[in-house]
Amino acid sequence: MTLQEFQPLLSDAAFVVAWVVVGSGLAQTLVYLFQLVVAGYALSRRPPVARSALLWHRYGEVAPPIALIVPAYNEQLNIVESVHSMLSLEYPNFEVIIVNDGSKDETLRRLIEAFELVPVNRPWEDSLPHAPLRGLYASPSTDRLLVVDKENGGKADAQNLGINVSRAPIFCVIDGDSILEPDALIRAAQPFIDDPERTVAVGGTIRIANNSVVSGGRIEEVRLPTQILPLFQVVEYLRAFLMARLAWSRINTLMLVSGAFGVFRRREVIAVGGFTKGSMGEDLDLIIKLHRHLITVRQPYRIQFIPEPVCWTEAPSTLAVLGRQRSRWQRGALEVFFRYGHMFLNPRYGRVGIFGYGHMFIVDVMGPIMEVLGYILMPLFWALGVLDLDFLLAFTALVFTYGIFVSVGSLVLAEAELKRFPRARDLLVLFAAAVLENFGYRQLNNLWRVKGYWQYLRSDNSWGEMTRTGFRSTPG
Amino acid sequence: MLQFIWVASLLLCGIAFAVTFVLAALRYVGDRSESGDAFARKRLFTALVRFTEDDDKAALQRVLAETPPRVIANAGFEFTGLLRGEDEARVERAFGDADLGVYVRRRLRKGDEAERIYCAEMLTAFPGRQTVRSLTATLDDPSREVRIAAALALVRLGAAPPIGTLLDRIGMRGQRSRRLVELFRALGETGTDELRTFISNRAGAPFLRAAAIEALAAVSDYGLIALFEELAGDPSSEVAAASIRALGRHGRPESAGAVVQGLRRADWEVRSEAAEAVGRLGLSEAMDELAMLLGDDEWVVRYAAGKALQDFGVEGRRLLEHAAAGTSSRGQRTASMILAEDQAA
Repeated sequence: MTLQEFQPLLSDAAFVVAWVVVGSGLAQTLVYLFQLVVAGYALSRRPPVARSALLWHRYGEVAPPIALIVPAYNEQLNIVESVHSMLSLEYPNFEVIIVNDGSKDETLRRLIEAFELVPVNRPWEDSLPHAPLRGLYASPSTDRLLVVDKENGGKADAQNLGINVSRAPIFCVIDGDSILEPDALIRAAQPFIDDPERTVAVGGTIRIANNSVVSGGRIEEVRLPTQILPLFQVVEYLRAFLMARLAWSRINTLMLVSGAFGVFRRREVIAVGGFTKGSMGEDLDLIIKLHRHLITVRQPYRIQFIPEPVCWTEAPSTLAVLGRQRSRWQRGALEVFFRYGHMFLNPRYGRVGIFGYGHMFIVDVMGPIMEVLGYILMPLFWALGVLDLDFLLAFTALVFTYGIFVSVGSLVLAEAELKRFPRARDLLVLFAAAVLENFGYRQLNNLWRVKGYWQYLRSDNSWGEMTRTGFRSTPG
Repeated sequence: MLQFIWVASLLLCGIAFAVTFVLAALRYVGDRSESGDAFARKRLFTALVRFTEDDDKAALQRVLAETPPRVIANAGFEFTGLLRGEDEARVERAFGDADLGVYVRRRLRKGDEAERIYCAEMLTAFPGRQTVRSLTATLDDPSREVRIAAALALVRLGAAPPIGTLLDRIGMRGQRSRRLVELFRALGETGTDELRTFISNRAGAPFLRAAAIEALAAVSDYGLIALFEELAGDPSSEVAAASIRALGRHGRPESAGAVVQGLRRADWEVRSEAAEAVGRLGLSEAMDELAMLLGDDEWVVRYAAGKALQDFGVEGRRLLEHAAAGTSSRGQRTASMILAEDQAA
């Protein structure tokens, strides 16, 4: 076949591929537009937000007991400060359970020294599987702290043992390197007070603390990150939490309550077998199991996201660490999508099967592949002369400007909901980041996600090291 | 088509730019106005602290007259939240003299949802016919949270309509809230008869009846015990569990029959409450049944039974030791753990 004969065939193929890529992009665009509109509506209809000072007065008497479960693996850098922060939370009835998941560093020793821990015995329910327990420790100076030492079994395994040991009807999971705002727990408990029979899980907002000043386990001064990668992640987190999750929560189709900060009803979590051990996306997995179980047993339920409770975390600041995190997230999403694949577009699972799973398919399963395909094939087809340059440029511009538009929409929601960026100029910096992320960061992200795809297909379950540098503290 | 794509891109970009600059400008203006409020708040706090020390009403009135009502409403009531008794009443009277009640009643009608809730809570500091009228009208507010806040305020002022009417006005969705426990608690001693009628009505929602029982359990009226005993056999597990918990709290051994019956119920919530109540009431005749419950399917029941046995002292400990020495089972594990905890303590 000569090149001239080959040309029409290539042209047809280019046309089809171009439209598949465009179609996929269009579907994602519609998903984001839907999220933006529904999040805006949810914002206008959300329950009233009270000032912190009023929450205790209003809910103190009826707030349910909560166990704060914190899996810790090699967290020696931040763990003591995090525990101090947790113990100073403004909540009437809570217990902090730190689960040392066989750390190789000094996590346990630092806890023992800082809180003068002593070994204790305590009856607990062995209802979820876990790696062997090595010991329980409590502090003579506070009855709110329990440290569980166990052999290494992974995050989900540690969380499961924490759930077993907890006694409260509600538990909250957070990461050992995170800092909860003092009123986060009482705000997150609000749905459990307003609708105690139906609420089974509540997620709050995760925000990035890089460069913010931490003192005594609390965020003393909020600052935007000075490094570009964490700054891009601030914009991403705004889109993920204040737009996407708010929207899906509104229609009771929330598919993810972040493992970095989520509040759950213990009974239902035990009924679904707790967190799935070895899962790359154990938080996503748990929520889908809850949906599946509660729909199957026909129990009316709500899984909610509320923006006001805020948990601060340190975001990766190097390409290597960020890349590993994103690949892992992608593997987690694929693993869960295919593990519960029978729910995809299955009307038996109602909105969760159709919209929730449909959204996962478009954004998590098809999204990265299609975008990377677009980046590779479009210029290639242009080089081969089968795609018009004007069309390529116009389409690329539309994709980028739409991305900026969505990010600015999230910024509007952030201003309306939280208003936690301290200065007006921070908004301009974030806008600049929303523009810049389209040139390099977005493409890198998709490459990492495709790498995650590849690792998933090769069944590579390595977690990867998550290097921390620690929060910025005030001197003295 | 091409032109359309370019125009759409430029439009999106332009909108994004414009919105960001408007946001930044609004934030700048908002920050300036907040710094003005912060100054007024600081001045008010200083005046209030001085007033609680020297009782110089004229000096406080001068500051109140120069402070925007929204600052008094927000900061002033946060301050009174820290006071108790006569100090609190004196400051609230000073606010009343400054006509703050009028401002709060107006915001109760016109404010946003969060403000309306707060205003309903604040109005308990300004009793009077106008306040009751405003709060009663607020029972028809479109927001159920506001309706609940207004109902609570009316109950605290002793001016609430009958409980049935109150719940009707709060509406069905609002009736799921645990804040109603607070409402029932506020009804407390004065509304005992009303609550008694309410919990006896088997057609009522179990969640609400249980909440009302929880509130009544805090009332020291031994005349309620017979009613709790009767409700301990209610088909609803929530109502039965709440009644048994109330019997345990009252601590009258004559309730033994109803409590022991609870140990045999199919609902785990009831068995668990009954096991705890047996321990509280010291019903030694139920110890063997408690020992059986050490092997219950539900951990909560097993643990409650173990703790109750522990409360019985030597005899309970003997039963726990016997269970712990047995073959590996749920009961054996529960007993061992409770004994181990006891030794450690």
